[in-house]
Amino acid sequence: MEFIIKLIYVMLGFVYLKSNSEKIKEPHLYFVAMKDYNIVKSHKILYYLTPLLISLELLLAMLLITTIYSGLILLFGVIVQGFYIFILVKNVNHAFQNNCGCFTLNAPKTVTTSNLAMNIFLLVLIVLLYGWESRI
Amino acid sequence: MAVMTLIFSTSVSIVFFISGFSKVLSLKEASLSLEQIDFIPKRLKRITGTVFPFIELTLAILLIIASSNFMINVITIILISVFILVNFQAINDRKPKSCFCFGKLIKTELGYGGLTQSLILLLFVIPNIVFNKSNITVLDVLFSHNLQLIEVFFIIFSMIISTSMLFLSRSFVDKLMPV
Repeated sequence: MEFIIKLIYVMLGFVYLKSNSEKIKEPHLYFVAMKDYNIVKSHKILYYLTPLLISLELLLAMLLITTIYSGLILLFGVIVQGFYIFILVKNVNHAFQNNCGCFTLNAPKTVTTSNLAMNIFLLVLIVLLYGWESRI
Repeated sequence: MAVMTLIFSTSVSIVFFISGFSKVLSLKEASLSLEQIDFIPKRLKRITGTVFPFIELTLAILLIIASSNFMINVITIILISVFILVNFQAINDRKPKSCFCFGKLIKTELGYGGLTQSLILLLFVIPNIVFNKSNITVLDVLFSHNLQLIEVFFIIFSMIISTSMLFLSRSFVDKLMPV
């Protein structure tokens, strides 16, 4: 049973790694997308927030792939996914012109129900995997 | 921490109980109310509408008597995720749809209020999965001989406050941000 949990952790890690690699390749486009999402008004804060988000997501991907620290996976997973769910809910009905459409997982060009469903699924999966692992 | 998770899961249970019970009182309307939800197959809409209140009631009881059970928490979290998506879809469509979430007891609509309530429900269930690993239920805590009357009173008071918050948040947000 433990093997299945670890396998799902690793698969989830690669999902985050794939999503993160696009952000690492085009950090400025990610900054522009985040600016459109109107999270904070000050650009200065966003300059620090965007790389922090990219680093957090990379850290989460690495933690998921190594599968050792499940407590940290839960902590960072809830922070990252909670943040993305918050920005999607905040921007429901919005279509963004400056968004390149390359960050489909967390910062899509048009916010749809399937985007939110995917992000809720990831959050729920991280929480359930932790709950399952701690009950074995 | 275990007591906190029990307070939260009991609040979720109370919401499910009120929702299920109010739908059972007007079962016909409850089954018809699902007609507006697009992602349920047409054939299954009637039967889902009829069975759904009983699922909510069963889940409400199970959340009280076996709140630490992993499968019960999984089903609860799936159900809440569906609520979130249904409300989100209604906001995305920009069409006000009546919800019948609490039957004829409380008149509700799908939208920001429902979305807020569902997100808080999700926040209330997550600690139950993460922290509640013992088999202690809220009934064990309330009828424990080790607790003083003031502690029992505090637990019941916290449950009432968190449940009221779940209902008030919905009506408050609905009034503040109509679809």
